[in-house]
Amino acid sequence: MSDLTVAVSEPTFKRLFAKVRDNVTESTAGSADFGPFSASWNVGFKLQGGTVDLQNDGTVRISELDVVYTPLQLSLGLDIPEVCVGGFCIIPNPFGGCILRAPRICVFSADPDISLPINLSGLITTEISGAFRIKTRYRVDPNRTATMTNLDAEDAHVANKWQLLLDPVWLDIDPIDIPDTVGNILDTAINNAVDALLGWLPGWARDLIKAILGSIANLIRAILDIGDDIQEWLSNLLGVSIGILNFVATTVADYFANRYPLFEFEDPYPILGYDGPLIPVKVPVLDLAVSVSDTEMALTANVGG
Amino acid sequence: MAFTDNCDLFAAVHEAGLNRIAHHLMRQRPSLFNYGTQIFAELPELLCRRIETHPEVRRRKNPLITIEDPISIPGTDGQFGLDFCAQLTALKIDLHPGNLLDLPPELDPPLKPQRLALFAEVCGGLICHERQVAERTGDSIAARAASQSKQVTWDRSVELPQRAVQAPAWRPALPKVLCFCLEAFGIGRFEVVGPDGAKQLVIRLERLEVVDIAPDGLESNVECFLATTLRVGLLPKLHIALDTVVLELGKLATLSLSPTPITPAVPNNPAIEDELLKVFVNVGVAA
Amino acid sequence: MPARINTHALRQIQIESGSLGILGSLAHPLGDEGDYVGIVSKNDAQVAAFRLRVDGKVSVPQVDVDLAGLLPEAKGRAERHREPAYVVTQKGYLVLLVSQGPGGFSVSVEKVATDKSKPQRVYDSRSLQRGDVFIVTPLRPGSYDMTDSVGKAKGHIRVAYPEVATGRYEPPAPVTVTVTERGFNPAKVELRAAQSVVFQIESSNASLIVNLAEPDEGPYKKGARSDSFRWTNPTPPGRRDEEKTPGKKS
Repeated sequence: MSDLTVAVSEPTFKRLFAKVRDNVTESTAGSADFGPFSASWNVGFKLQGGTVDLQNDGTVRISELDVVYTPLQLSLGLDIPEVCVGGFCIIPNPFGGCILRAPRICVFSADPDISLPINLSGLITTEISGAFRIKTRYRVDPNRTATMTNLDAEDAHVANKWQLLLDPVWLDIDPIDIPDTVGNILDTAINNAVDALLGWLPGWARDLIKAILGSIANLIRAILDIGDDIQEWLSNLLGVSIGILNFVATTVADYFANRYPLFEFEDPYPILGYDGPLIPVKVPVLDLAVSVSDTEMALTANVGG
Repeated sequence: MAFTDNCDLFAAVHEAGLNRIAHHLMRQRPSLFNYGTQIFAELPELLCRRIETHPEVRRRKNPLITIEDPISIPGTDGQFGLDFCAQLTALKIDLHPGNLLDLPPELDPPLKPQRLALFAEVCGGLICHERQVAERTGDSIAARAASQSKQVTWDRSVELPQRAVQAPAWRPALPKVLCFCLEAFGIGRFEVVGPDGAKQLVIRLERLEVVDIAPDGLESNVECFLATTLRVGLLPKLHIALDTVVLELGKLATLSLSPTPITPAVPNNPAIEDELLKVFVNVGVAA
Repeated sequence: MPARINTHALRQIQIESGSLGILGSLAHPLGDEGDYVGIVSKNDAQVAAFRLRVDGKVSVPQVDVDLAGLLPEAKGRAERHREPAYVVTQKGYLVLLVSQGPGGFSVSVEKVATDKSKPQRVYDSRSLQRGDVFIVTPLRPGSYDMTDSVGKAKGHIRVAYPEVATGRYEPPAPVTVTVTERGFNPAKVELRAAQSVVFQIESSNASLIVNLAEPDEGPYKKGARSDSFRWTNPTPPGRRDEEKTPGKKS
């Protein structure tokens, strides 16, 4: 029989989990070249919602945990091809080739770049589900020096701790759900970019360039390889090419398994605090173990001598 | 059947754990269990039982004993007292059904449900002065009282106090302490007391029996003194916050904790059964 | 890199063979083998020179000389004092073009004598010769007059307004106009957007000018669309009269 037993009901466990969940927030920034276009991004996320169920097999099942991406700022950079006329053959060579060729006249040159800033903060969500085992860990604070006693460590806020962490067994992340409105956001970004590039030209010159390039919006879509389904394209860009899904999965796993304990307490555990100059009374805790059933999580431990 | 079938949080401590906790308490807060006059603070070797302490107590210069005033001698107008020490040198707790302690017949064994049994060894002693010192002191006190203006020659070996009760100044040789030890058994229960949001777990002493004192009247007086000391002086200082009982889960998740109300499903809270102290806690919405 | 839009190309509304700019290039067939010097003038002032060797043994059919690129300010420091040298096959073409800037170039070509006597001028781009090809690409939509100031020929070019469609637009093949002593053939040319005209010179002497007579602004014609925005006072007329009289309480 263990000296100490503490049990937490499933609803209370959910409150503990909510505290951990609400503290998960992370962001990353980066850039990559995808050939025809490049992308830079600033992506962060937080977690909301989700259902938590304790299982009889000792695991904790978390379902439909919402991942809200905020901020989610993309900037796509792409090259508009040169707009040139001429270059045709004036006198063909009857034996093949060209004897006299007209020079090319370029109206657009130097491969101008278009930058499309796209702000999708708060518009995109995805869901995570997973199964976790609760593991115990005895953490020695890295800032604790070898000469510190347990009381010195408590005073310096670097006391050793017993921690309970959620260790993922598996995590599933749904594909990124892109709402219809995102298509409009991208189109607006494209139109704004084209206006910025050409808007100052007289109307006939704009139309000439657009005629030669075709619809610049369509050209941009072609360069980005958007195809018919902009949502699918963006989902793939974010999830796979930029790797947001992997970022979320590894961050969530690391947060739960390592960085943010479900629960922790000091060891030795202070049962009486300071009373003026009188030192706290601290009790060593040994052999912390955890078990999970479908109704509760139970901790057991022994009091050291 | 789950621990939390009728509550949100459940905590249980086995009597073995309680006894180890008591041991840590005695080693880390010795001044709660050891009392004496100033001389015992200065010369702890005079104590009836050597105090075992955690190294941190000495490192942080915590007192080994709580300093008390000497026992006032009647007829001295509070001007003369005797040095003493009193120590609780052993403490054992036995939870229902009770298998660690053999209760004396006066406490109506076996241990009743929802009760704990206590065993304590109490040691104490007086520093009793030599007859001549006492006589000289008495003469001086009387002479002083009788004469209000005349110059009185004092015996310099006797320093009379100008204020509260003081013991006579000691002489170079270590005084002798008349040590004795008593064994006491008690019956008690646990209670959760205090206002909402600041609930504490405390021990309530119901009965105390000191073993082998005669005559009965003296035994009763000693029991009264000991029980009152425990109820008023010691046990209230051993309260533990409800949050501490559940390892501060409440603070971590900003939960507001309160004892589970008594219902047929939870007839006792805290409960003492199966050699366990059990506490049932409900969780409310944090303010 | 920011966009570089060739504004000179968009602004040019007169294209002359005697004063070459971005929208007009000139191809001159070269005759005898030998070494030549091209003297480049801008607005009648000499600004650069280049060397040209006509060599029957090489198989380069044409050499493109970017006159704007020969300007000292367009060259790197190391090349500033060097005359560029070109080689082309006999009967090949010297193509004179302007890639940037406002234009105004003309070129005279002199043959370097082998006996160190004075070079002999063999060609002046201000006066087109039989066999020359003048390539014109009028970009701005509208009606153009084409004239030969030597032979007094006149003609007309109409450039259609560009149609913006979803797909990319490829200008059609150029229209060829023959220039003889009798005039332009054809004298009326209809062009689609960015389509070129190739003037084949068959007269002994010509100097061509293509000039915008009437631009076509397309949907941006003045008066065709109102850009003004009307704001209406939301205050009812009665109250508006009261506000005109300060101090008067309602």
